Amino acid sequence: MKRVLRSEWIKFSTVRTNIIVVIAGIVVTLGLAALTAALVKLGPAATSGTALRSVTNPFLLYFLLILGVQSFTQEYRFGTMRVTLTASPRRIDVFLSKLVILGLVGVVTSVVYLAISFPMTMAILHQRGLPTALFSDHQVRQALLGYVTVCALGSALGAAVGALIRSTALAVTLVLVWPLVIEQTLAGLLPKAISKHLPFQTAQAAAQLPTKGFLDHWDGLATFALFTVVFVYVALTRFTRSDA
Amino acid sequence: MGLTKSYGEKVVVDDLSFEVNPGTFTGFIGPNGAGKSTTMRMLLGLDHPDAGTATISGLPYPDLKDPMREVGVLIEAKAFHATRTARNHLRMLAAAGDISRARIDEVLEMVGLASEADRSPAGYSLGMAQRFGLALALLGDPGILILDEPTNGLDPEGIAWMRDLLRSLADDGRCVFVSSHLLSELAQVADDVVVIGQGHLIAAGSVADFVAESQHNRVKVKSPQIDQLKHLLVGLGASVSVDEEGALEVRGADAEAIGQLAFRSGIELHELASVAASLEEAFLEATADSTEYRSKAGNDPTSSPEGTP
Repeated sequence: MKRVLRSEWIKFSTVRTNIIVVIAGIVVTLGLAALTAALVKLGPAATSGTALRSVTNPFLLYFLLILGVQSFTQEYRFGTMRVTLTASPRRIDVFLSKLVILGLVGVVTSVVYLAISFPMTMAILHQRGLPTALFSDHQVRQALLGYVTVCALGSALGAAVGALIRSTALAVTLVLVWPLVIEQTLAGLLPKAISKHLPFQTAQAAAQLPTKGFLDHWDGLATFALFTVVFVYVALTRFTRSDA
Repeated sequence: MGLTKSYGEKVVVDDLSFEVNPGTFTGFIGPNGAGKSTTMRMLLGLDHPDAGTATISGLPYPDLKDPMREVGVLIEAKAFHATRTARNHLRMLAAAGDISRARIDEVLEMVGLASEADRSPAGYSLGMAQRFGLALALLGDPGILILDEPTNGLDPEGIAWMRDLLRSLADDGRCVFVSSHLLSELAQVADDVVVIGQGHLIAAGSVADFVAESQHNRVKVKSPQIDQLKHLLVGLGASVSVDEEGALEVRGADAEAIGQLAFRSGIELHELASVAASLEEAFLEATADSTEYRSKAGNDPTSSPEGTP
């Protein structure tokens, strides 16, 4: 397993686009957080909860989903999956190693992002005289940790979707269209009692202060983790059984 | 053993059984679409057979303790990421097999690509890519090599180079198992052949036996009393045809028997010669019934106009 992990790390780190996606994810999400903090018009509705929301922007998660998708689809596209599986024929090890590497990348990326975004966003809000979230607040720390966990899980979820669909274009479309279009539409149509269980609603719930119409922190985290585990399980089963 | 594999309704490999002897150079020969690559993928645990088993040193490939040090594989030409450099590709595989960095430089030297190591092999010519593929296969210094069409896309010089290298690897005591749709590429260097067509085993054994068993082994006879001799030979159960020079081509009776028969019957012989089949002829004959995409008209090797009754 150690060998496969090392091999997968070299595989990940020697492709420039992976590094670019990570950096672009951090930069773009930072930009969005700064813009939100600078321009949001909430007036009296502004709370520490809305302040935190401009930090825990889901955009980083979309980048990590794409990174996860690519970890499998690129291997199928370039035909290297068979090379990988002759070098490391234990498929479970290969699959889990990819997930571990992506999970770690998700953690590091989101921690780096938060380390810049949180103080920056709060400074902007403070400057504007709007309420801020304090890192010393237990619930704020919990939400930030939730964001990091969701980012790690999201990378693994993306990988599972990539392993199942195998085509970059289709898989990337799915992981973007689902949260940005389909789930937004469903959330608007369905009663809140149901829509709050949609995957990316639960991801959001895990990374914010308690908010009406959403699951609480732990339920949100557990539900998003459950979605991820189900996808990972199905993808792993198919990966080990089907032809490479 | 008893390997079978279908894609949809199409049976690609059908109850195929054969064995490759350790320490030999074995050519795995068959026309395109015969099921060679599929068989190799099943041997490596990449594709799962519908029935049967494939083992290496008695174990399924995924159960080998240290696969990269035991088996070197080249199954897909040009399967490289578009931007990862050749050296990084080797590093990635070396990590999977716990192989030293020094060995990376060694194999790059061996295939003459040391100076090209810092660009992506995706940009290599097919010839370079095949050489690089061989470097990948040799990374773990394995005792067994499984190579799918390693000469594909090489120029004649490259084919000769590959052939010599593979022969010398076999001479070092390695088991070399190489597929090709062109028998002639391997005929001079292989010890054994496994010939398949449409997923069926056609022949397996030494190259010499394969040729010997071919019906293209025949006796050429020239005689002024050709019709009389032909009649007698057919009576003996041999099959006889007349070639373009007017000479008899006899199958099913050796030169000794024909000479005796002619002598006893008082038939004058001007020429009596055993003609051995070339490997290519033997191959064409063996696979003639199973070539999938053969043109219907003209060059059908089984239906010579003066064919046997």
